[in-house]
Amino acid sequence: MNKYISTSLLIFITVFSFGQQRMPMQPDPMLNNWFANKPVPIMPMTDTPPPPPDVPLDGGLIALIAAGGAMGYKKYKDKNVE
Amino acid sequence: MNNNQSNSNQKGKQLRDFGAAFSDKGFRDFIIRFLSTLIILTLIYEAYLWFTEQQRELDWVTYKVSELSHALATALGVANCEFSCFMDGCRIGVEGRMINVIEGCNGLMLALVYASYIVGSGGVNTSSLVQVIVGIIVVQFFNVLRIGMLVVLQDIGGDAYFYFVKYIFNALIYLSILFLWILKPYVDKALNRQQ
Repeated sequence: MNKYISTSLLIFITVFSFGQQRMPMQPDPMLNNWFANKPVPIMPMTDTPPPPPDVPLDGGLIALIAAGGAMGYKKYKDKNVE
Repeated sequence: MNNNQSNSNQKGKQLRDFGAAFSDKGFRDFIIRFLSTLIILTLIYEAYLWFTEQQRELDWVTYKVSELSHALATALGVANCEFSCFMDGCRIGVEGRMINVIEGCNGLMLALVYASYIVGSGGVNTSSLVQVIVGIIVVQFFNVLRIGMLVVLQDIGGDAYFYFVKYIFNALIYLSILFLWILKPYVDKALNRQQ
């Protein structure tokens, strides 16, 4: 008798566990109806290409200003040596 | 240990030299002229940009650089090279492989730094004026060449475009400015000899 009970319990648990796995895949019938469903806005398909790349040139301005200062300093130093 | 000590002594000496340089009237005048010219020119340029933005137009320099670059790319053999300008910049190239020339790409800020150094170093005189005009033309020539070549490279495709846009053309323009600065004393001498 115990053998039948334990086999039935095993089958029940197995079937129950399969059912538990399948549950989230199916929508809740309480929420899946005309009143509960919220309207989803229809978005237009966006197939605009990404903008073309920029070709900036002023990335090293600070370095150029510093180089100008350094050249002026060198000029001053050379003049003092003379 | 001795090496570290000698390095720190050398750095200290360099800092003292730099401090001494500031106490020298000639160097101080150069720095003040250089930075004040740069600030004034930048303010004028920013005001011009603000004005064009209010007019909902693209600035003239960016437009002209883009137009000349487009002409160069077409002359270099880019077929169906298109050119369209908007408020924020110009797009040049073949459909699907265009490049965007915005205000930061027109090279004018570099030209302003170059001009500021010339004025800071030599003051406001005929020689400086000639060098500023020639320098701006040289910078813009290299910039048009750079953008035209980038359009061609973008059309060809491959990794070359990335390296050229990131390193080679930028280095070329910055080095041309440094080269013009190095040439300045010789140009001054030549112009003064003529006068």
